[in-house]
Amino acid sequence: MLRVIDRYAFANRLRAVDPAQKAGLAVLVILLCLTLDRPLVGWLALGWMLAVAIWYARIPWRVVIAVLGAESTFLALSVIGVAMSVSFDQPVAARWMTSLGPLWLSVSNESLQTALRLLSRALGSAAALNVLILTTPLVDLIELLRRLRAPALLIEVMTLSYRAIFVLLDTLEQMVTAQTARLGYASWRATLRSSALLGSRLFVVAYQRSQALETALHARGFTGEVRVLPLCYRIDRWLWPIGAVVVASLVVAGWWP
Amino acid sequence: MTALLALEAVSYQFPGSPTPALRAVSLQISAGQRIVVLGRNGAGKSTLLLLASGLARPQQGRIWLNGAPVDYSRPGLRRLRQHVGLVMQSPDEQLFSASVWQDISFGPLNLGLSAEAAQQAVLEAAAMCDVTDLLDRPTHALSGGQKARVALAGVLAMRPRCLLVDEATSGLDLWARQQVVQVFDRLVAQGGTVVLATHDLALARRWADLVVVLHEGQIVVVAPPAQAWADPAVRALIAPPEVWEG
Ligand SMILES: Nc1ncnc2c1ncn2[C@@H]1O[C@H](COP(=O)(O)OP(=O)(O)O)[C@@H](O)[C@H]1O
Ligand SMILES: [Mg+2]
Repeated sequence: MLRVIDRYAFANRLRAVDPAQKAGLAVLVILLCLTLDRPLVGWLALGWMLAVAIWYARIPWRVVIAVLGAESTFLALSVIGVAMSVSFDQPVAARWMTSLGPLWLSVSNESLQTALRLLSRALGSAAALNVLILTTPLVDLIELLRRLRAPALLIEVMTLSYRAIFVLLDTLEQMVTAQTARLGYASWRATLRSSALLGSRLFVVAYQRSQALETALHARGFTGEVRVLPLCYRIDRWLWPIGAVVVASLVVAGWWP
Repeated sequence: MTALLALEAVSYQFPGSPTPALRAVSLQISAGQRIVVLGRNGAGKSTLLLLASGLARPQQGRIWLNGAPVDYSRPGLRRLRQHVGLVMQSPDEQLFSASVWQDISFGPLNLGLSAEAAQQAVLEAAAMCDVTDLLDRPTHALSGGQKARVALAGVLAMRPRCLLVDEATSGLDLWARQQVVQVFDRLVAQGGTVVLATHDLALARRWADLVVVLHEGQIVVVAPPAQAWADPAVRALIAPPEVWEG
């Protein structure tokens, strides 16, 4: 999943657009979803953001839906928790109920509405966030943080971890392949043993890599601060008008009597 | 003529290691040379390059840069790194940034160049290493050959006069290897020096004008390739007999 997101973040139509512009749009939509407390706002935001991701940024719809789907499974669990109430007494006004031994599970009209409102808000916000992460590589987000004067240490840690994640992913894949080739996952027992070995070995490799990386940084004159040139971006002429229409429609949906 | 870089009876033992990795090694490196360092695994090739680039400090002996002993203070090391660049064995250990452009800019900025001058250095190094069209790519989505050239560009952007390369051509196919060798040739054509640690005998024979053979931390011979091969004892230290047949 991480690799897929990363690939599209580097290969979509909005790749070169200033991250401030994309983050601005996403943050506005998320704020509106959270403040305007009406299901319609969330659904509308969801629709708009899917449209922007698929038609404007040209990210394949399967990818957009897959990422949203993964997030939805987590959301669904919490939404079900909100919708359903559990009690020892038989509920009076419930839309739906069932008994489970001494317990009563029930869904009331009220709780259903709360749950739906929560779901719409969460999906709208998630879709807006997805537009950002699917069109903007982490490099650009880090660059944005730098411009916003985030602490240098935070930025360095993010840069190095981002890079380390992919190096470790490669190593992990190679190790799993090598173990599989030697029947490391052929049985339940072998799987347990192989995973344990993999974990400890990966830790050692990560440590060695970090040592080697530090030497390499010193070889290039590292003196304790990671400094690199800023990246160059373009401002997308259409993203502002699109954003204005999205925001206007959300506000109207939120305030219209 | 003073050597660009000179090692004088240099010894080095890794902390906690029972035997020294280098023993009384002396070597002169001058401008415009193509030097290949040969020797078995563990012979001390990487250690030699580590010491020559100031990343490790010899316990005995001295290293001279342009006729002056290397000064291990911060400004002294900066001066050394301006002249001597080191490319590590695996590009994955060297590339730290997510974008090629930013990774290459790291060294020049550390030398204290202004943003414009650093930008110029990045573009020049990228052109020299044929990675100009990769500048806006993420480092983790490059092929092995591309990674190697980007790592090389990251060091060349500091405009070193002496480039130390530790087996950077090992994992590459013959085409990618040739592209890297072309970069070395461009540097030598500009008066630079390349010191390459490798196991690639064919490359040593074809490309080097000086071969340094290391064995158990000691230099066995420093000579042009043909002359180095001539001695059967030296040949035995470089490769098993089967390799030399034919
Ligand atoms: N970090 C280290 N700690 C301890 N010993 C090391 C370390 N690196 C290398 N050595 C030892 O130093 C010797 C020379 O190693 P090295 O210079 O890496 O050889 P080469 O590059 O020729 O394969 C070897 O015996 C090796 O085991
Ligand atoms: Mg080595």
